[in-house]
Amino acid sequence: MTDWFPLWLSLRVSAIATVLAVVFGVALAYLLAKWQSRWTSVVEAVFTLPIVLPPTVLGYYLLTLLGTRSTLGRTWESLFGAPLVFTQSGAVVAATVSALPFVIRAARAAISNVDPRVEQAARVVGMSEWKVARVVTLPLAARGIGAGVALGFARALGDFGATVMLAGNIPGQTQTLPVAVYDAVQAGDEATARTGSLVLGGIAVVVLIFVTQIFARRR
Amino acid sequence: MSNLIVDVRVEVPGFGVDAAFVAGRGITVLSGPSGSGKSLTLAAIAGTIRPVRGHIRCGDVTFAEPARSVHLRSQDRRVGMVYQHAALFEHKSPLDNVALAVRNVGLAAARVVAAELLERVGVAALATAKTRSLSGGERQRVALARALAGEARVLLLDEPFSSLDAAARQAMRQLVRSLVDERGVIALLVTHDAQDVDALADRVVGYEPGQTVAATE
Repeated sequence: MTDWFPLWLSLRVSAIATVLAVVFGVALAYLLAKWQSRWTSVVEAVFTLPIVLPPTVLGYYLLTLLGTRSTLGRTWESLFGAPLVFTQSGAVVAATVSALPFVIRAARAAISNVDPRVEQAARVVGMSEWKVARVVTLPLAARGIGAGVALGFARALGDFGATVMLAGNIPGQTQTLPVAVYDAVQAGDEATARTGSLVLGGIAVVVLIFVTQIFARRR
Repeated sequence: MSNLIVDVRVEVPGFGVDAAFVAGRGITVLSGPSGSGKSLTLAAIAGTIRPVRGHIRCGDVTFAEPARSVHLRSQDRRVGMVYQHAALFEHKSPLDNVALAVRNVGLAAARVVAAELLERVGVAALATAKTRSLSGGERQRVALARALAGEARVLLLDEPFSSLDAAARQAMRQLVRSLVDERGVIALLVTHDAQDVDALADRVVGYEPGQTVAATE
């Protein structure tokens, strides 16, 4: 009997992580696209780090930043009554941080690509900055943002290194599907490794097709 | 009766223009070679760029006066703008392009006003069409309706006919003329076309590169 818990957990964790990455990432991308200063590229570089850092290194830093002995970790514990590390919340944090750069980069590019004259036209007819963003800029940038969200979701679903470091590998609690595949191979459980890989590979291909379609339709 | 008084210097990297003129009701054509600063003047009046000195006033409302740190937001100036390539909201219907520009009412009421305006500019049948599918002339009509929807006091027309064919251009000229007269707005028209000047100008402000040189009635 196949254990579906890791798949279910992976989907849940990456769904929540994607929502968080969209809320935070699109807002930050909007600020980065609109308020250019010398700090803009610094901030963008910091939020791009998760792409270039080895995932285990990213996980190590997150562990250092959010562990039970850190200020942030203790604050979390006093707020929610339990530590963040080695929990499903930890897995969500790891997946969110991994997904964020994809959302931010795609959203920033898409928002910058919106014709500034159209945004000016919206201001001239009386829209507030907030309404310009909501009614004009973000809808016009939606496709590019969508591509970034899909890539971010795929990245969140596939994360291994940061998740293992921050959330651990507790079967039935924090063991996501990529981690379960690793475990299965270690244990010589060919069938589980094969099924898990097929499911993850299949979802990755679907995401890739979706993203390719978005860019094909744009032309 | 209120006039639009422009006496400013506007700068962008590598270029600046000194513009000084007074425009009353009717159509004032800003005429001169490309790159002489006509569109930059319109941008300063629309509030999308800040002048470095001088002032822009419309009646008793000061749009901009850097010396007193006055810079009224575009949203609060009650100007309408028509761009060379319309700059419509492509993801919205023509009806909603106009409805979004109607001020101080809910969406349903705004759509009623918008429908009347589209009727007035002759594209009522296209109200719910796909905006992307409109022709150049149709787009400019929607843009004109949008520019007037906010009860604009000042109508800024930045080469609105230049991308149109001869027939559409002629029809658009007549429409602009009748709408400006009907609504009693102060219209500024940037154009390179001598025929536009002949057909529409109540006043002409001449530009040389970087400055206004003469105004003629």
